[in-house]
Amino acid sequence: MDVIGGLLHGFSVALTPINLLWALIGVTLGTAVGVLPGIGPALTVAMLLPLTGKLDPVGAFIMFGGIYYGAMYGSSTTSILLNTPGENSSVVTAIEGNRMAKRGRGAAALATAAIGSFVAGTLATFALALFAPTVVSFALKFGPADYFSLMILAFTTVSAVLGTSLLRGLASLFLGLTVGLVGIDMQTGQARLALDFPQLLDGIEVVILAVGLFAVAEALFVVSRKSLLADEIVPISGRIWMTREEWRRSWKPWLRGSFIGFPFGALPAGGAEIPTFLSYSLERKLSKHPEEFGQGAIEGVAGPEATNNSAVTGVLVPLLTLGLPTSATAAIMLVAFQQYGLHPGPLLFQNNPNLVWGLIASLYIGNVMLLVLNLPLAGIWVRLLAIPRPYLSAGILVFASLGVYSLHGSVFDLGTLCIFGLLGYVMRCADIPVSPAILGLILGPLAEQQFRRALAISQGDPTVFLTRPISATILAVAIAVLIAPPLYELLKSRRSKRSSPVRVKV
Amino acid sequence: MDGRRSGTRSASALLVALALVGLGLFVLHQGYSIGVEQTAYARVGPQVFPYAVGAGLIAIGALLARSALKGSWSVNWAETTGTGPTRREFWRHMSSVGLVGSGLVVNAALIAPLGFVIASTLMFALTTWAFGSRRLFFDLAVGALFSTVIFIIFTYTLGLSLPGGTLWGAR
Repeated sequence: MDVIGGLLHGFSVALTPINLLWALIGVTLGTAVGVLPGIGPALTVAMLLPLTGKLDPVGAFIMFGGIYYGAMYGSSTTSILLNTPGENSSVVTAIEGNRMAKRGRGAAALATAAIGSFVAGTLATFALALFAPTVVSFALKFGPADYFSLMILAFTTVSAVLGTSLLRGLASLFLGLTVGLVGIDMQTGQARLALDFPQLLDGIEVVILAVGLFAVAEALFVVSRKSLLADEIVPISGRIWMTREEWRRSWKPWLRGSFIGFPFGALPAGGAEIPTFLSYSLERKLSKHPEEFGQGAIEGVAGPEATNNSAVTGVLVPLLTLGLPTSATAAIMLVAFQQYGLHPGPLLFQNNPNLVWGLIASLYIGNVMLLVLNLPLAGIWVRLLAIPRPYLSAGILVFASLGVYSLHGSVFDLGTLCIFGLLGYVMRCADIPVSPAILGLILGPLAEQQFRRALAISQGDPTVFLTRPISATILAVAIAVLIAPPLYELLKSRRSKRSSPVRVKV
Repeated sequence: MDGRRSGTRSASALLVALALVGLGLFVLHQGYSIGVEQTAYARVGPQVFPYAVGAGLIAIGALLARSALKGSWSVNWAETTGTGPTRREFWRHMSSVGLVGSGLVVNAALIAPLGFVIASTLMFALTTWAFGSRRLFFDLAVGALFSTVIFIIFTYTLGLSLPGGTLWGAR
C-alpha cells in the first residue's frame, strides 16, 4: 500500500466514533500523567496492559499512542509553571519556560510549547508515514543475526544515552537482562533462575518491574528528599495569546526542532532527551537575542518542545517496522503487541494495515485534540497539581498495587513489587537510570531467541554475526558507541597529563 | 558536605557495586546448574545467556567499585536541606522511606485475608503519614473512600475481581 492510500485508509479507521473516543481517552490520560509528577507514559501504558484482554488492538494502540503523545504536552506545562519537568524530555523546557512564566509570559510559553508540539507532531507523523514503508522494504532482508546485532545496538545506545554515565546505564540494562532470564527457557524447557518458586516459571511480568521501578521507587525516593519538595506554582498571567514578535521568534525553532527530533527518535538512539538538549544549544547559537537565554527566551521553549514531540513520533519507526523499542514506553507498547499475538516488524504493515495506518492517522487526530486540550485548558490541568503530595503519592501506590494484583490475583506478585520498589529506590539514590532495565527485560529474551536462531541456521558457526554485512555494520556502530566515550576521556586525560608538567615548569 | 558524610556515600556506592558483583556470581552459578545435556540439540544451550549476563554484571560491578573507591560515584540515601542538625534529618527521612515500604508490605500481607479496601486504606494512611500529613483519621477516611470507589468501579463496571477478604468469607 502506498503512503497516500495507506493514510486515507488509516483515517477511515481512526475517524470511527469508537476510535475517536479511544484517542480522546488516551490524550486526556496522557496529558494528566504528563502533568502529574511521579507517573509517566511508560508506567501508565504498563498499568493499562491488562485491558488488552478486553479491547481490540486498533483501539488499544490508538489509546497508547495518545498517552505517549499527551504526556509530552502535559509535561511541558509543569516545566513552565512549576519548574518541575514531568518527564525527562522536558528538562530543558523548564530552564527558559519557568523564567518566562516568572516574567509574566507563562501563557505565551505554554502556547509556543503546545503549538510547537503540534507542528512537530504533525510533520513527524508525515515523516513516519513516508519513511516507514521504506524501512519495511529494507527490514525484509534482515535475518536473525541482523536482528540480534540491532538489539545489541539498541542496548548500547540506550545505556549510553539514558542517564549520566555509560557504566551505570549498563548496570541498569544488565539488571533488566537478569530479570528477563527468569523463567522457563523457551527452546529447551528448562527452568532458569526460578529458585524453585513455581510462580517464577512463567517469567516476571514487565508490569511488575515497570510499576516497581517507576511508581514505588518514585514514592520511596521522593519521601527520602521531602524537605526539598517546595514547589511553587507560577500562576498563568499576562496576555493569553502570543504576541506577533513571539510568533516571529517561534516558528523557526519549531521547524528546526521537528527536524532534529525525528531522526534521533527513529535511529535506535534512545528517545527524546538528547535531541532536546541539542535543540536548546542550537537555538541559543542561532538566536538574535542570546543574552535573553537564561532569562526566559521563547526560542528555548519552542525548539525543545517541538523536538521532543518529533522524537516521540520517530520512536514509532523502529517500533513498528523492526519491532525494536528505543524508549521505555515503546518497550511496553511492544509487550502490548506481544499480548495480542502481533509481531511488529515488516510483516505488520502487510498483515495489519488497519492497525498500522489507523495508529498513524490517529496521531494526527490526537495532535489536534491535544492542541485544543492544552491551549485553552492549560489552567485546568495545572489544578491537578493542587492535589497535596501525600495524597498524590498514596493514591499512586494504591493504583500501583492494584494494577499488579489484578494481573493474576497473586500476593507473590505484590511481594515481587516490593522488592523491585526497593531496587528502584537504590537505583535512584545511586543515580542509575531505570529505563534501560525495562528495555533489558523486554528485549533480552528476544535477543536470546534471535541469537540462538542465527546460530542454528549457521550450524553453530559464531562468525555469522560478522560475515553478514548488515550485522557486521550494526555491530561496528554498537562497539563505537561503547568505546568512543571512554576512549575520548582517556585521550583527554592523557593530553592534560602531558601538558600539566609543562605548566608546572612555567 | 563534611568528610564523614562523603565517606558514607562512597561506602554505600561500594556496597551497591559489590552487590552487583554478588548478583553476577549468583547468575553464573544458576547458569552452571542448568545442566548441559541438551546443548548438542539446541546448538546454543540455555546456559549461554546466563553466563554472559553474569559475567557482564561482575565486570560492571567491578568497574563501579573502582569509581566508588576513586570517589567519582556516590550513593546518597536521603537528601537533607543542610539547615539544622543533618544527622537527625537524615534518619527522619530514612524512617519515612521505611514507613512507605512497610505500607506496601502491609498491603501485600493483608489484601487476601482482609480484602482490597482495608489493605489499601492502611497503605494509604501509612503513606500520607510518611509524607508528613498528620491528620491520621481524616487520611484513613480519604483512603477508605478512595479504595471503596475503586473497588466498586473495578468489580462492577470493569468486571475485575478484587479480593473482598477471606476472613469474613468474601472472595
